[in-house]
Amino acid sequence: MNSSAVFNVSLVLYLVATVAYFVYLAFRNEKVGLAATLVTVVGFLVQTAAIGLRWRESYAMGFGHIPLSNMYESMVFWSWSIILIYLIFERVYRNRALGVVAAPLGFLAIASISIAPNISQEIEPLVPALQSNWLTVHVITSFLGYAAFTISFGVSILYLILSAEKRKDAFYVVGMASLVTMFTLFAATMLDFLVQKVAGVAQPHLFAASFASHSSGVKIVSWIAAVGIFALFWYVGALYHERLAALFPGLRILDDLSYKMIMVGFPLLTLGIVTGAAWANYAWGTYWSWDPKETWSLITWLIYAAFLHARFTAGWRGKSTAVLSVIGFAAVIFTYIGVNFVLSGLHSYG
Amino acid sequence: MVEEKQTSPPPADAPPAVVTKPWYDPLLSFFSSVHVAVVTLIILASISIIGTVLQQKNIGEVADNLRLFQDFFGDAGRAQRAFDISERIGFFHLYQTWYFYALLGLLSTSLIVCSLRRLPQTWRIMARPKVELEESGFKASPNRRTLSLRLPRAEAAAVAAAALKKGGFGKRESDRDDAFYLFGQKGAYSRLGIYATHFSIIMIFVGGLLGSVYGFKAYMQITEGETSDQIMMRGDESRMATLPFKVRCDDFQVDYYPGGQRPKDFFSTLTVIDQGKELPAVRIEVNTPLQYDGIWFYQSSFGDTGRGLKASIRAVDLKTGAGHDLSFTGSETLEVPGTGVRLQMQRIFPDFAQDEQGRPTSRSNQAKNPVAAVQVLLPDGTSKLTYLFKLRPDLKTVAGLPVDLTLVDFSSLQYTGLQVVYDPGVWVIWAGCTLMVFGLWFAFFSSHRRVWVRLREVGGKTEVLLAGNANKNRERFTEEFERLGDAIHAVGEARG
Repeated sequence: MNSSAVFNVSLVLYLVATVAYFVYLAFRNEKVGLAATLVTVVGFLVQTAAIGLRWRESYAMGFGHIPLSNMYESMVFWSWSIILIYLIFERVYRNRALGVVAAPLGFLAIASISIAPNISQEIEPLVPALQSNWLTVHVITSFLGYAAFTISFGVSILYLILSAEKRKDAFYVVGMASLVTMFTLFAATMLDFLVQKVAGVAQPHLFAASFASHSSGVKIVSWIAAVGIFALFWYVGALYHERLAALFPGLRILDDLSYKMIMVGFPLLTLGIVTGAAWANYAWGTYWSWDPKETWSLITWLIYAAFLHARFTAGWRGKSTAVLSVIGFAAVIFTYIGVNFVLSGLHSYG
Repeated sequence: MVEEKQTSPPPADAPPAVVTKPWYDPLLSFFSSVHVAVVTLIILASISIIGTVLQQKNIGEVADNLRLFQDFFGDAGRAQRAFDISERIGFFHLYQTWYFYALLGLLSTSLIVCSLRRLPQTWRIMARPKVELEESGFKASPNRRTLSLRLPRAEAAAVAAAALKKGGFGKRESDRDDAFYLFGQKGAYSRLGIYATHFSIIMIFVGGLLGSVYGFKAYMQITEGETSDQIMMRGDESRMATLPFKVRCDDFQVDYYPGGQRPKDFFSTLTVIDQGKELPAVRIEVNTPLQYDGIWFYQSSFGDTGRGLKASIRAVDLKTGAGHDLSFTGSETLEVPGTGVRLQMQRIFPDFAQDEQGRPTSRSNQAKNPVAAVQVLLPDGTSKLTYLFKLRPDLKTVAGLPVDLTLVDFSSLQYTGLQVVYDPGVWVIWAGCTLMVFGLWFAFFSSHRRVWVRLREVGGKTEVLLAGNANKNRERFTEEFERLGDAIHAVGEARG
């Protein structure tokens, strides 16, 4: 079997796990919870096997490198890291509440990259500078860090949405806006996929069937739809606020989980930056060159450093730190994806 | 920083303390304020964004920024004005501006002042803990438990001490008439993690400063077989400098991926010649540098010099089908045996192109599109000029020749491009980075756990008060604390 097919199996398993974690939270049934964990573990093992398979395929093609070298491979690894960090967390803290955040995020990461048009899934040979063991260490530490921040972000959105008393609460609006942004981005990618695969119309770039369409009519409709989705979520979310809040762990637990994830992510991001600097020094003799990717990773680091000080020393709690976690994650996404699309630099991807 | 105040209210009858604060106290308060630190971090993060949007000197093309402004403003005049202003306030070398350094200075000052202010208190908590548990402390403790053991006080104390020792707590004791006190702690060093992290940032700044003041970055090109000690300083392209020793490039090689133009790896064999003495040759490649006398040589680029050209042309006699390989090293004339046809090499274009007037030219010395211009001298005394394309052997510019000509091989002497770096601060940087990673580990994942025990005889039994706290991961500690209480209780019951 080829590795892409195996990735699809793990994709399905993460979707099943997502549903199972929701059912577990709704009914607090330990058996369902155990089943959710088992499905996630199996999905994780399948995904690990698929990464191994892809690695072997690269040797068969004569390049032979760890599958961490382009956008597709890195997104797959991101998903893998989210699930790994979550599973360790579940084991150490004996708490399944985060499954409802981690499983869908793990699913979304592979799903969106698998269906996005114009993202090459080919195994490519490496340019000389990338042929280094530092690549492995640098990418693994960075992505484990990203994954922890991703989970923290998911929990912080939940916190912002659930902690609001009123639907006009600014924090509630920020939380909902973040949720709807994620939802809309995924829906738009899905639309590209459907138009390309089902309708058979080739899509030249991402969101060509919606926000980035050449037709201004489609663009306007997409924006109206996005605003409509936001209005719906925003209204309904507040309407069923009580029931939603009853579904999830208490606010104090969410706040604590979000911050614990940042505590895990921060040293990993630090290691990622340090190993990147060490590698750059070994390859070019410059540990830091203010390349946009480097600078953005530093910006991300500074934001999370501010988070930790605000939380530890200044005693911020709850909504304000949740907003900082959302801002931090926006910086992570920009560092990982945005820099490559908007700015220029040394990195071929995240 | 994680701190718990360990203050006890002053006795009610004590006179109010008169403390005159030194004049610089407001300054210290300012720099040690966490708000100042957080604001500095946020400002640094925000201002750094500018330098990622605008091309920076020595990294990108500053001129590209003008185009960026034009796209943004849609008006050439305003774009030019924005460009001039940005240049004047240093946005094109943002990370070297005085205000960026000032922000780093503010951050360092804040780190140092805040650490120095808090360190003494942390040290007191670690090294001089309060051993005796008071009633108020017991009541305020997040973890507390009361046991009653049917043992004499001294024996109960021994049981508790053994339990603390087993739990890995270092212990201190205090024996008073009315009560016996035990105190145990572990993981106290975790409180130092954050100081180590803060100090590591200062180390990294110092390392960076050392490198920029005493180090240099340069570039050198050496042609195969040649020796050089000339380097071109980076950031100042016209300034050449001389190394205290010479470097010879013995050989240069490129490996390509199968079937492609993509280089897989490139290597140089270098020999250092120091005061006439040759050192053993070293083969370097991308990601494997050479170090000599503190100076590092990194494989960074390569190319053809356009000198020492060699071309090999295959000529096939169309009458007999016999093929001959002719090698040219200059503009010599060679005869194709048995045909009476002579070939004169006119010129070789490593990277063929046509200029504006349509004349053949070479864009570079790189062998991207080698073309040979050959004068074919025919036996009847006439001659024809033909161009041979290495990449397009099917392309014939002249028809009706008695021989079929193809350019089969082309090479010229290659040069190796080396990054030459001397950075005395780099070890300070790595020491700082290592310290930071360990510091963060201790700061986040280890916790200072403390347990207090008070034993007092009450009506033939010994009353044991247990209290404990941890500065991090408190849920875990509560479990540990309960286990400790259970253990003391179990042993006490068994003996009593």
